[in-house]
Amino acid sequence: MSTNPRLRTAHIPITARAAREGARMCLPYVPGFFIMGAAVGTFAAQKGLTLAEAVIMNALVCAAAAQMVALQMWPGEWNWLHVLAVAGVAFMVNMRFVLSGASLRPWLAPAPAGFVYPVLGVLTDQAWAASIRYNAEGGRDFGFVAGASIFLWLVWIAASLPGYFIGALIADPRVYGLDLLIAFTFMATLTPILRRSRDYLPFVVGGAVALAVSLVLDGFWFIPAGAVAGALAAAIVGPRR
Amino acid sequence: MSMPFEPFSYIGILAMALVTVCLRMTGYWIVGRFPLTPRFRRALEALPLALFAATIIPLAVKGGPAGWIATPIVAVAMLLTGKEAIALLVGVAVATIVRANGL
Repeated sequence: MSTNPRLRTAHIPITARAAREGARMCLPYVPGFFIMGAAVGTFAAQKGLTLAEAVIMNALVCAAAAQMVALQMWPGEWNWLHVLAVAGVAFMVNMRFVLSGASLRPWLAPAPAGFVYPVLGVLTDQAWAASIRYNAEGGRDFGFVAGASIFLWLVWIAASLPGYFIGALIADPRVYGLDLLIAFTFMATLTPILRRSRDYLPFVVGGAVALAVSLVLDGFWFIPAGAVAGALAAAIVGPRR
Repeated sequence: MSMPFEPFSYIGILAMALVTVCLRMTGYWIVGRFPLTPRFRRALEALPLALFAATIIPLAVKGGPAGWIATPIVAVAMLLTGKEAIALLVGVAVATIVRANGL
């Protein structure tokens, strides 16, 4: 792991070893996935989804926060407006994925598109965060992203089963601070990156703008607003060294 | 619990999946359509830090005292142990204790 991540080369390695490392780095997230799966499963069961629907939703959507918000407004009697509404929720809550995908491009650009896009299709926040940390520490192997993403995707599908049946045990996710789980996960991943890079500007600007927007606008606009503001600030201010 | 087959429910799930998968792919795709100038590269390199902050800070602030107390403790636990599993466990434990005390 001595390669400089800013060095551009024509090829990047894709190895099974890095894929295993990616999966291993995501092991700490497995308990959280099962607990979130239980919370999502509770809503699914309460709203009368069949087990097949719950499993398929985890497999195809694979985004806990969006699923939870959509399930809270899951209709009993459907029409096309309801379809539009749940798709709108998925858009609002998952807009951040546009930015996480964009941030991977400078690193993954040399990898074949036929490998990258399927992996991006099941990218989760945690797999993205682990990959960013791996890259910040000098890792360049695309296998890491693939291993982390596919491993956590399979874990999330598996989490739908106990979640659906025993989910009622976690009737209120707030009691266990599960509404904060993504903040905790990102904080844990960010801390070593920030300590290493000492690059506080995008963090401070991104956090301040996001907080201001979250106080003014409902929904999840604060995430893209803050992220874009922080990235722009870094581009305008210029290199630190 | 046996429910009648509801095709709309599957259509709703598919619509959510389609939107989400498109979002996951478009950012990566769009960036590839533009030349990677030094300035653009700096923005993309800062993007993860900004995205982390833009998620953590509003969620922690809006999470009430549990968010205010537990989120910094996760960072401290991470600095002390270097283990994500321990940091996450400490965060959930602190948040549970704070909320159990009615805060």
